[in-house]
Amino acid sequence: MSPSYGTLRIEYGKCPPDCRLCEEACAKEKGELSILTSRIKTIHTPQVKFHCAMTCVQCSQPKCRQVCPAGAIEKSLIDGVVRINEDKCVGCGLCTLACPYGGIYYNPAAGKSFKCDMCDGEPKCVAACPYDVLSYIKNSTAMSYFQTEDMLSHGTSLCPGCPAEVALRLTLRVLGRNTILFSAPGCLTSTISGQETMPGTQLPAASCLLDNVASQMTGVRRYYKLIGRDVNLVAFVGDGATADIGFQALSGAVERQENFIYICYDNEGYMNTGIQRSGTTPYRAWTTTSPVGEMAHGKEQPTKNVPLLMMFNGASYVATATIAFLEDYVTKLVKAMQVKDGVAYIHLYSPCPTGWRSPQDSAIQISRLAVETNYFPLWEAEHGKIHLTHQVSNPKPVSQLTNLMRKFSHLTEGELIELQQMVDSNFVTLKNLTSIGG
Amino acid sequence: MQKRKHLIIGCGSAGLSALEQIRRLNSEDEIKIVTMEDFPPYSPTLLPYLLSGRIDEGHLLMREENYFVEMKATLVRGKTITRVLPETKRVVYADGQEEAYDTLLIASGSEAVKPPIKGLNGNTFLGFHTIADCTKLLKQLAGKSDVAVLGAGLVGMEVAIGLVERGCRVTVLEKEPRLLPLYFDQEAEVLIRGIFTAHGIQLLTGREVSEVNRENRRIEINFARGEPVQVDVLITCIGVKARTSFATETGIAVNQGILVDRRMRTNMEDIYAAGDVAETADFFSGKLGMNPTIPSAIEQGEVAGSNMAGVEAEYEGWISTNIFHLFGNTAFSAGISMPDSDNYQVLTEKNERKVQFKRLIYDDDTLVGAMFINIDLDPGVILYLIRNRVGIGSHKQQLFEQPKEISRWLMQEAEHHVGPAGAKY
Repeated sequence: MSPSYGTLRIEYGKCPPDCRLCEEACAKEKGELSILTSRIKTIHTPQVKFHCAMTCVQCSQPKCRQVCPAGAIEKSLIDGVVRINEDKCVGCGLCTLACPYGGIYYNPAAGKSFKCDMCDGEPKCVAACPYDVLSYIKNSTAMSYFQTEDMLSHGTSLCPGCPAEVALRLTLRVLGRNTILFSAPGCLTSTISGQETMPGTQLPAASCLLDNVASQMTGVRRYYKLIGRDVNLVAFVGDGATADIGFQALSGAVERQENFIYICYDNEGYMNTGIQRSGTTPYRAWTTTSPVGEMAHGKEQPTKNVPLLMMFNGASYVATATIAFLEDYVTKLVKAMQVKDGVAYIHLYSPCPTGWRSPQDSAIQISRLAVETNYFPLWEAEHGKIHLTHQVSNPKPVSQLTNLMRKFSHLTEGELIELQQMVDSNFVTLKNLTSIGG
Repeated sequence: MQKRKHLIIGCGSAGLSALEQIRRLNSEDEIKIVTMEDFPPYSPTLLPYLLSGRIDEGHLLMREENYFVEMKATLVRGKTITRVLPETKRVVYADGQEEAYDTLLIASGSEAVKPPIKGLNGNTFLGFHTIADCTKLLKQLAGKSDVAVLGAGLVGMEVAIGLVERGCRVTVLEKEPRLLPLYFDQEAEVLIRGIFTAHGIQLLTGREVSEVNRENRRIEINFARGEPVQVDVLITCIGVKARTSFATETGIAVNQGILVDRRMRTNMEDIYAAGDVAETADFFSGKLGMNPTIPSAIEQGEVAGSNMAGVEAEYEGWISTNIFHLFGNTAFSAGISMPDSDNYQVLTEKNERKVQFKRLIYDDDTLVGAMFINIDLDPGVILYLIRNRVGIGSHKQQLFEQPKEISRWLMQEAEHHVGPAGAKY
């Protein structure tokens, strides 16, 4: 399992002209007399109006390491830093030839190569930069979960480019072994419950019906309460089972303050059965049951906002999440695991390349844009107290999002304006709720 | 899928690179790597440093001791494969033993060339390519000081530097009129020549050796024209040739080296070749040729390893490149650095006093070659611009004037705007 590492982040092209503070700090730290042997370099090219810092990017497969005939370069598996063993370096310079990113340098006076070692986790260049161009990003919580046990079986039964599998895999890593899963008919049924005689996960899993997930969880919770064992009960089901068919069971369980985690992966329709509209299908989106033609122009009703309904329904914890903001999602999932006095509901935005007619490599880009356009704001509500977990300073137009999928390709200019207005007004509603909730 | 057995002949840069790639792709296949050397894996590139006394034998190891255990590979040392049997998918060792494989990678490298010179025989010929050669040379050097190096290529010049650092008197003999003829032209070579001469190395270029004689304890070297030279030790570094003997009469196509396609496949099924032994595609023309360097060996090994593990990969082709550190100076050449047609735009500047030289060669909008002496820049970034065919646009002159800064900027722009795959932006 590969561990997660610290990252030196450089804001691209944002250095002030002729600033060399990072180089000076580096040279000082490394006992160098000149910034020529600093491990970080600035590029000042006023003729093309470009000012930036650059250094080693600590590649995962460093070419410099591969090419070194002396075996003097190693990538640490502990902190991910690529280091030169000076004692072994003969100064042949092949590493400077192999590195395409200008991250390793040759010192003719010493006859050795040299490079950034991230000051073993406390880069002095970052401390010296007053312009926030340099920052050091420490191990993220989300990434650290990639060291935990992977409990999802190998392979996938999902369509190419579907992010739900990635989300589920990470979800299980965070939940751990003390977990029982619940699935409903949908895209992930066989991923969770397995196919033929092969199990889908290493966890016990119940295959529920579309309409009774929350009821079944209620029963199982009661049993575990009876025998005195605390266990994570987690549903990972689609929007059809959540917003439509299973809604009354869920709403009832939330109202009764049953205790379980209910994760809805929302791909905005019944994708598994042939791309039919659901309650969460957005306004004017094409599906096979909200067709586009002379008589119709996509779905005529706006989205049903399930997470807000859940909050008003009385869920102890409600959150929205996407896999483009993993850190945010993992934090919310951990909070959900701590809830013992009611339902924790997470609404996970899950792009569907097949049903949305979007490129297979676009799921993360779409997820990010959904947040950055305020189409799918990231927020959480703890016992009704609501706040945004990711502030978007300059929201992008929703057209940037709709342009990425053909399910919106028929939108007229007017319809696009309508959609933008809906996004804006939904966001204002949410904003107002956050100021009320405090 | 059933586990397969990959057999790799040779434990140099190409062999190790293939091994690492197969493992990186999570293959759980069996890997066996066979080397004729008794010594643990090392690179010939380090031998001049061993010669100079800058490092000792302990420094030669390319990988840590437990490396092969971690890679779940079996290393067999000191065994020579004499024949490949493609029909039955087996190899034959010198002792007659046979071994089966599912895929075979020939990464047997190269050996020193012995030129057909009268009198150059077991008694007088000493190449410089293996640790055994180096040990032999060190033995011959005991108490001696006059050494001649035959051949002024990269290896010959590195050996000359090593010998000078040992305190030897060195004469370099080259039949071509200039040093490092593959990498530098007359204009740049003058500067390099000056550096060597300043360090007491005698350079006899444009002189073809006609005969070598051992006289008492000295060696006399005669030339087609001019006075003979007498030395204590003669070392021959006129180049390397692919080590292909086990491939003859096996049906494996061999020209100068073993011929391979873009996926490093030979003409025989499940047999691959990479590194010094392989004749591979040139980056610019796509024509097959030899380029026995470490960076090429690494890339070819990686491509071969991918394909052996069942993941298709193609080799982009080699770019003739070299970096050379000599007595505190740096010389670097890459790509089409000495164009032989007028279709290229060439910018050149030389400063004899500062011992500096720079040249850029453009083909239309892209950089195709470079040659620098004592210019501070990142060689890998220049190579990036060539390899990714980065459009230089209106910045050709700026790149020439400020190669370090502008090349870094162009590289960063290409990375940020088109991603690492990097076509024109």
